[in-house]
Amino acid sequence: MIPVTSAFKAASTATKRQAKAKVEIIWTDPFVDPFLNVESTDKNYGITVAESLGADILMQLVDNIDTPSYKYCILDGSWELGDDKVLAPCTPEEVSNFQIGWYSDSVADANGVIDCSVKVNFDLAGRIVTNVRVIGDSLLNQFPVDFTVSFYGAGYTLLGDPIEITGNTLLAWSRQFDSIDGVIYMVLNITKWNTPNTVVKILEFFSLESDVFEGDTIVSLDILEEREAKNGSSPIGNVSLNELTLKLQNIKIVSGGVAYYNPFTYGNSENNRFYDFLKPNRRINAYYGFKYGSTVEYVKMGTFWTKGDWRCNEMDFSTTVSAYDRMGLLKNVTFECPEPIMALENVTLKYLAELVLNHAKANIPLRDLQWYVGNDLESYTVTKPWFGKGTYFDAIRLIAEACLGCAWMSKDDVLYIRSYTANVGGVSVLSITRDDYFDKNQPSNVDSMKNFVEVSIQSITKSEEKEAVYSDKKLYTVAAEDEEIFELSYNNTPVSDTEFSLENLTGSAAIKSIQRFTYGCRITIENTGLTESTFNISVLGYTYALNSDLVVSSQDDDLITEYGRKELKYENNLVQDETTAQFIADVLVGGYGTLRRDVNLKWRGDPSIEVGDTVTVPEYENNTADFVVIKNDWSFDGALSCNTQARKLLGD
Amino acid sequence: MAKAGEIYLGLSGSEYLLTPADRKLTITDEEILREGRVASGKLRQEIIAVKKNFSLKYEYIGGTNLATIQTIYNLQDELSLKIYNTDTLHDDYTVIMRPITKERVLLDTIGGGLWAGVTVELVEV
Repeated sequence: MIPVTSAFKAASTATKRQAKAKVEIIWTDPFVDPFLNVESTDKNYGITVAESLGADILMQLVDNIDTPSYKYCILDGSWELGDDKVLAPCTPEEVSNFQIGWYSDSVADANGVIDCSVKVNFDLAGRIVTNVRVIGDSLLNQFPVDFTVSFYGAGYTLLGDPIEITGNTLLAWSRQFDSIDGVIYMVLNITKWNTPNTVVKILEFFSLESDVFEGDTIVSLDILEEREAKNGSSPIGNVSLNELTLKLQNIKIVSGGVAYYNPFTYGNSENNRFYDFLKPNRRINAYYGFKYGSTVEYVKMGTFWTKGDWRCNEMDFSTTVSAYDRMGLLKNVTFECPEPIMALENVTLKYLAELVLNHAKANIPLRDLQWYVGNDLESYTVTKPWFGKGTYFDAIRLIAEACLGCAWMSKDDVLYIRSYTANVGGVSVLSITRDDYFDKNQPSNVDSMKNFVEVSIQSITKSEEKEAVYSDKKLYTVAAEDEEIFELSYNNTPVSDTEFSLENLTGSAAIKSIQRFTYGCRITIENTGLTESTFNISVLGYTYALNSDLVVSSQDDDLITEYGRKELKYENNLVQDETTAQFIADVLVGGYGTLRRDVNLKWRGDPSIEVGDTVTVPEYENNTADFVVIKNDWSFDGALSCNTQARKLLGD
Repeated sequence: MAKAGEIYLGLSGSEYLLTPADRKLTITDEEILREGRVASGKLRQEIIAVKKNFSLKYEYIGGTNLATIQTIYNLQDELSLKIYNTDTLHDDYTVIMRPITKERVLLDTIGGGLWAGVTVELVEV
């Protein structure tokens, strides 16, 4: 349950209450903008090395993280042995975890005079810019003194007058200005640094555009939170995908003191701040709250990213958009499971979960991805872990399934993975009484009963010898003095220890680099010759025989006699030993063999409650029982209400 | 210089002074809410907003003054309503005007005639 004040609690249950909603839309979320990139010809050696290893340090300038993780060693004469500096991040994982920003190659002279620049590229269609900020190194207290920020449109046209700053004394400099439309890129040129004889260190150089909508601007705000999306009240593989539907009025919206009329209407592109922003992957922070006295107290309901169209309804003067939480992003990106995972043995599900999440953080990239993986996942060991071709969402679901657990995004945008044992309920945090709900029912849920469960043991055996895992007869071609990237999918997966060769080669093609995955690879072929080169690609590797013939089961004969056989077959390639398989079968039959009488409530709603919380609800007459909330379907259209589903606690 | 009791209406910054002659002002609060009875039988209300409705009733009004009100109505826009409680203090509202009902009692082509039972309904947006 989200902590709130007692006044909030009182307001939520008052006979007359006044609910509020608010959304903050970040139009220029740097984490999901496919066009955003940063470049500089003046970057220090460390950045160049990191780039050669596949890590893009310069993107840290636009990631909204404005504090360096450490003071870093830099070979400009300022580093003394024994001081508190550390080596700069270099590998993709280090760059994902540690903030450094842009370090120039040029060194300021004894007066701090320097001449270096960095460029931030936006969408080629251009976008509105109404602000910019330049932030130096807070740990070293170093920042630019004299600098210029310039904005450019199509055809390298300078848009407006450059912002020329001299004598700056601020570590974090920012400026708001009248909107500049059609900006394709912006350039920061620094001519004086506040510290002599050192390189430039910039943590942020970006323009973040956002708006807060509340009050009369919001027509409706509906949020669906659910923990168990797949199998009703069965706990298997419950990876939730929370959804938001936002409807804004499209008559007049004021932003930055400027009124925009029909801002979301298609074709209304002249002097319209919002027009170019109406695209997928806009970040929305959503809030519900209550007004008491002159105070409005809000609870954050989650962070979501828009999907699909901004639908503009002409007759009701509104626009509607749907959005999903971070799981939605993870559902759309392939987890390119690295081949070396096949060398792992006897690792815990916690280790595997963190491997997948670190991979997502570094490779999508989702640098602001935060997670909490329960220590309870350490009690589940996988003999020979592997993942086939699928998305990050699929990999997380496999892990959640293998511990009969759940994975979900919390309201503060943290990804949680907890096992079944952590999901059996805790102390009740809220009593929902007959004064709070309009209707309640407790269906028997016969369809979700499982009184006979079969779990297959997914053993995996490595081949004795390397075999051909890719022997397509396709003739590949690379033009003269060119290079091509080919993506191959193997016939049998997973594979390991792959060896590559070009066969039937004509010309000068050669393998430049290979990214190896368990299910395929991405291979870059370079042709340095003056004529076209053709070849076949051959891949040898160890293959793995998957065997799921061994099956364990658990059943409740009495319940089978009474209700008939309610069967569940369970398969998961991370369940590879008999003990784990039998445990899963027993838990499923023990917990889900009986009629559970879960509860559905239509009530006023208290937005501080979270999915996973335990609540107390009346049953017959004065009896009460505890339930774990598994779904909240919130509706706000000026008034707030909620449909809640909760699973009855075992043994309650 | 405004005086206590005066009422101005029009586009923001261009309000007209409404004639006070034979005028009666009624202000009512309107609760926009959703309500229902919960399982225990208790009434629960969700207050969405409390808005004001203004009714200006003229028992009789001259044609020229009515024409001013009609001009304001014809703006078909959000209107600024200023009600002066003292010579300097006033309450401000953003309102829309409903269509005017009117009954002609005297036809006078020069002065616009005399009208009776004119009610100007203003609703806070």
